[in-house]
Amino acid sequence: MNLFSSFEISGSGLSAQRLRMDTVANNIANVNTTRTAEGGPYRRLRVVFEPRQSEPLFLLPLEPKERAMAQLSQGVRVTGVSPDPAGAKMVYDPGHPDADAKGYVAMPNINIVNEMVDMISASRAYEANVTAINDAKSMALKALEIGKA
Amino acid sequence: MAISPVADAYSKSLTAGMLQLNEMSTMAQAAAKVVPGSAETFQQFLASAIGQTVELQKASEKKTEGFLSGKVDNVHEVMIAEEKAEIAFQLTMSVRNKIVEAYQEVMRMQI
Repeated sequence: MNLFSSFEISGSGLSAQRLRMDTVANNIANVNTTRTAEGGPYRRLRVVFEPRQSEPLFLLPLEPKERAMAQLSQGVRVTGVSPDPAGAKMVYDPGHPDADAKGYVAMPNINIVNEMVDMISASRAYEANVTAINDAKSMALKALEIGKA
Repeated sequence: MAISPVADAYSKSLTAGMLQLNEMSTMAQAAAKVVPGSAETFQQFLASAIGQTVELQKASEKKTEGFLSGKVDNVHEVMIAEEKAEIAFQLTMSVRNKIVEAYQEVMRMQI
């Protein structure tokens, strides 16, 4: 535990939210992508997060405060990016090169409104992490004022 | 840091106060070893604390350079490194101010 651990924790949150933002941007950019290397339309991607745990320790010999610190997770980590299992949207467009025999095109399972909401959520979460960093900084600087007044 | 022998004695008592100040800093690791009367002198402790501050400033510079040359792609990493260096510097400065204050207090002493 040192002064900068809250910086590291919030920093991991910032990286995580940036990745989420990138995923949303990728989803929006591919809203009309009908062919991919795996075949079929583009599938919406989602980021999955997990807590970044410090290594399990032999907790018994530690002081209660240190034990609490060891149990506290040290930020967030990306587990992976997984495709949304929802089925493709079928759109009738017989002139499209990827249309099937009946004239339907399989479009990505992306709802642009959902993506916008995800984007706002990511950017607000990013802001919240920045606020946490700033507050950690002002706590540290406030401590220097002890005994000044 | 050449402090006269009189001031050195005074600074010993300052060490105890500094232990608490440093508990919340990166210098904590170094400070934890500084028990009055231990092998590490106050001067050595101070030198290592300043060294760590310089290290953080170098790390911040490296991040900035990395960002400018495209090696670091997250702005927040640069900013966090910068903030760390700034806070460490301010901590070092307040320790330095305390030492100078103590020194001046000793110099004002009537003999």
